[in-house]
Amino acid sequence: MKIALYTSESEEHVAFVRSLGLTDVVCGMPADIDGVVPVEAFERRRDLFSRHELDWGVIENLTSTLYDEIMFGTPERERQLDGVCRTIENVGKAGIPVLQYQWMLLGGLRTEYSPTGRGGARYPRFDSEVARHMAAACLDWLGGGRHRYPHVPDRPLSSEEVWANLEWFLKAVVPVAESAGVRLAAHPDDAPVPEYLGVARILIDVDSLQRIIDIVPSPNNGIGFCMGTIGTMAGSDVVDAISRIGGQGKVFFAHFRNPRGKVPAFEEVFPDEGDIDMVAAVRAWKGVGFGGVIRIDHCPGVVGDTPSADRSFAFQVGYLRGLMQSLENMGATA
Amino acid sequence: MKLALTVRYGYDEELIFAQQLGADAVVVRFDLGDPQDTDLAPVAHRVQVSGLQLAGVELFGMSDEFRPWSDGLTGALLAAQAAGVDTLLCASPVRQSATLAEDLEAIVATAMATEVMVCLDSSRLLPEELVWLPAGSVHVELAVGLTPLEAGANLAADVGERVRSGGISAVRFEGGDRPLGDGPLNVAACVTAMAAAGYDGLVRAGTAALLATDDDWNPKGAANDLGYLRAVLQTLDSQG
Repeated sequence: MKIALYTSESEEHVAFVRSLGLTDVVCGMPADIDGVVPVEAFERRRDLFSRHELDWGVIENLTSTLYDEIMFGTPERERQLDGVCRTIENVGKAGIPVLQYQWMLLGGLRTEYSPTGRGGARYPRFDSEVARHMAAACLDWLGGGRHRYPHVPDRPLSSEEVWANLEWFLKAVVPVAESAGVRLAAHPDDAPVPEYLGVARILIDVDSLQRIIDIVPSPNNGIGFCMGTIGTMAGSDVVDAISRIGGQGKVFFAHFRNPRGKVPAFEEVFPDEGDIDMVAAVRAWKGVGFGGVIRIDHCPGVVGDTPSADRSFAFQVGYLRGLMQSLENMGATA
Repeated sequence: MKLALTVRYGYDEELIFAQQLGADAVVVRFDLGDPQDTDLAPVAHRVQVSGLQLAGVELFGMSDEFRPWSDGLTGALLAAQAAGVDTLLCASPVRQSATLAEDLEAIVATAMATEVMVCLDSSRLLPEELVWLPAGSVHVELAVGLTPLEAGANLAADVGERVRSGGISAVRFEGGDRPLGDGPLNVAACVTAMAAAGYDGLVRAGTAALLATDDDWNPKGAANDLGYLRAVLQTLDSQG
């Protein structure tokens, strides 16, 4: 299991990641693009990371504006599909083995960032009651800018429609990913609620993740296993889910996060105080033989931190490393 | 075991940082030039109202440069007693006599009278001095990662043996220029050996590695180290 942090093209931040002793990074694609992401865009980032002795093993995520029409099933989806396929081919040409995508038509959701955590730390929270009539719960709106995606929907979409759109997408792109040597990892819906503003959210339980795997059986079709999101799914057990999905070799990428609470309301706390038994979870990762990238996910806001939350992320890096090394010393397996 | 973060006296941000990251306690460090032997009551008060436990006061860099070492420490012991501070961590005894026992005679007596513990840094003691301690309530803080407890194949066993021999009331892990968990120091194995030896005292990280773009008090490195130690302790707890 390789611990990674998300980074940008900032030389300073990349240097920070390396100085933490990490050897892996996760990075996104250029934002606000239409059409095809050229191979040079990936190679430029890959080479920057290489200069700092960092390996870029996962792209997080397929930029939403490349396939939002596909998610919504509009007539424009054929045009977008070609761009997505060419982009996947370019990911493969750049030698990046995993591409994560998500199927949240209205993006990730949070309703509050309040200084009510441990010692006044700022915890991101979600509450379905608050979100019910709040278009601004979309995480992507928090930056304050205008966005084409996600947008306030102009009609409701049912679960059947959203599933059909995802199935259409997977049947078209998984063969391309196979040829390109790229593994596609689906991130679950965060927050995992069944609908938002009348639009269904479908990847909200572990069975739905299994359904993705089964739609197109392929070594290149799998899951981006977000421990935090899965931990907030109603009735979920993250340790069991690691064994179930990871035991099939279908986890291509993982997020390390420990929430407190489940839908309809939860908060993102420090990893040592959440509901998930993180010792058991890391033991489960070892048990299924997961050797991929696990990225430190969202974290609480701490005093004096940088915009990229380096202090809070450093705490979580140390925490995960401590769990892994402790279990290694004890020779623990699942 | 009690997990502490070392903070500097007078830097409120560091107290808040310790609480947010879930330290059980703090060790407040006085650098040279701080009023180390005058009044420790404000130190204890600030920590208390911040919702933290005060695990001890570290007298950093105290030497004969300003006043005789033993006089300085005696004064600090009296100040600690007055403020209800129960532990002083003190790096380097200054040798003025033929033996450490002679140098520490007054300190041992004052420590006993004040019921304040003094922990001397293992990396500043000679092997025969380590064997001589504890003397009354003058104990040792093991500095793991520094001579004579440097990284190596037998380190965890050595640390466990030191703990078994007694007189160890604090353990500090020094990763050098690498964050804990990254370098050759197998902290997890050492903590496991300490627990097996029955250790239940104070644990903290030493000077944090200076990570790229970090601030002057190395909070990013300190955060890594605290998270690492918390995880090691939680894993131990989960094993019962």
